[in-house]
Amino acid sequence: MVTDPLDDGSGGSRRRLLGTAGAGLAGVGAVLLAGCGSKSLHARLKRTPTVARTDVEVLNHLLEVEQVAIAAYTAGAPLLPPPAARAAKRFLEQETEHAFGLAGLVKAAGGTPRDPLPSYDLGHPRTGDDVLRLLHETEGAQLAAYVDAIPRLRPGAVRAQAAGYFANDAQHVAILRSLLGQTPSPAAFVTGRE
Amino acid sequence: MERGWTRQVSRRELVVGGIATGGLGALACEGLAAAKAATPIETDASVLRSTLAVELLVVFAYEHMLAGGTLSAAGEQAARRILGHEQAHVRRLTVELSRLGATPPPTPTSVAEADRQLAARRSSGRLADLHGELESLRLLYDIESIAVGTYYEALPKLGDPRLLRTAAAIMGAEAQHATVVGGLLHPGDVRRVVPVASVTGKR
Repeated sequence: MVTDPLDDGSGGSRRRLLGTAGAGLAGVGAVLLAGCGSKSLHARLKRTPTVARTDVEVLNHLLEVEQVAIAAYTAGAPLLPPPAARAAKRFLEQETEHAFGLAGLVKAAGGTPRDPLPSYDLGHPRTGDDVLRLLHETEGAQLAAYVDAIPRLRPGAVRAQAAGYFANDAQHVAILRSLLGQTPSPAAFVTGRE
Repeated sequence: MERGWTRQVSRRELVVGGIATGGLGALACEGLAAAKAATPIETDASVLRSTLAVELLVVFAYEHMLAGGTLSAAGEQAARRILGHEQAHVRRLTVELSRLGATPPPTPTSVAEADRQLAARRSSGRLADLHGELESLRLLYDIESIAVGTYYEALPKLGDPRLLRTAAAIMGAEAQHATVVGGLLHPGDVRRVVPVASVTGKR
């Protein structure tokens, strides 16, 4: 589902890719989901904690921001030089795991996980650094969403699960900042607005 | 006002909720873990006190490491920046504890005491046995993992939304610290530096 956007060597290809990043997202997600982690689906389902119905809206919002990140990594990773592309591919797998986990929580609460949008407006990054800045911005939005969401989730395992994803996204930011030549951990308190 | 916050999930609530929703399988796993952690009832003050105890241990470890001179220039620069963050965490948590009318836990007073605390938290290294940068960085990575795990356990228990935001923001910083130290241990190896999608730390 993911084609090399540099095949025809034109900026137009990049624009098309970024403009329609969401189009192939469901398929990409399905492929990645099949391969993420080493645990069986049965094991994953068995590990899903009980979830309060009141958490559904918050969890679905987190799912939405994860879907934006998946779109950004899907579109952006092929435009990056090899070391950064390897990191982006890794992070895409992890964002997909987050989305899978959040969707599972929504279902466990009797809710319906929101589908990804058909496409996402990700701007028109032209260089590798442009892509890294886009990914940094996207991860920052995720962090802010988690910091806002965590206090609104009911105490217990669901909140812990969200915290685990938040901490992973904070790590992504540290790596992206390093790739941009910035201090990886700039602040004592991570809010997504650093 | 904040003194009244307590954990809102008890073992009984989880058991009743699990049975009511037919979620026995789920209850057997993470739900039960949360239920175990929720007994006995803890206040926000006691949860914060536990996190502050770990922060004080982390600060002691970084100060000891920096004084020992085992780190390279790059390692020392990173450690000094991280130490500044850890000290900021100590200041913030001390203020928050004071607001709750609680006293802060004691700071480790010796390497032996710090090593006892590290061993109690299943650390694989000891401050007393550091002979080079590799050992030092491995221990720092372990310490940051302990810090992450402390907040991973604290967040489900806290009640005050403001404290929850603070604890989450600190957990994010500890996860970034682990990434920085991991990057020094495994330069360019993102699979080892960011190994898992759900960062739960050492518990």
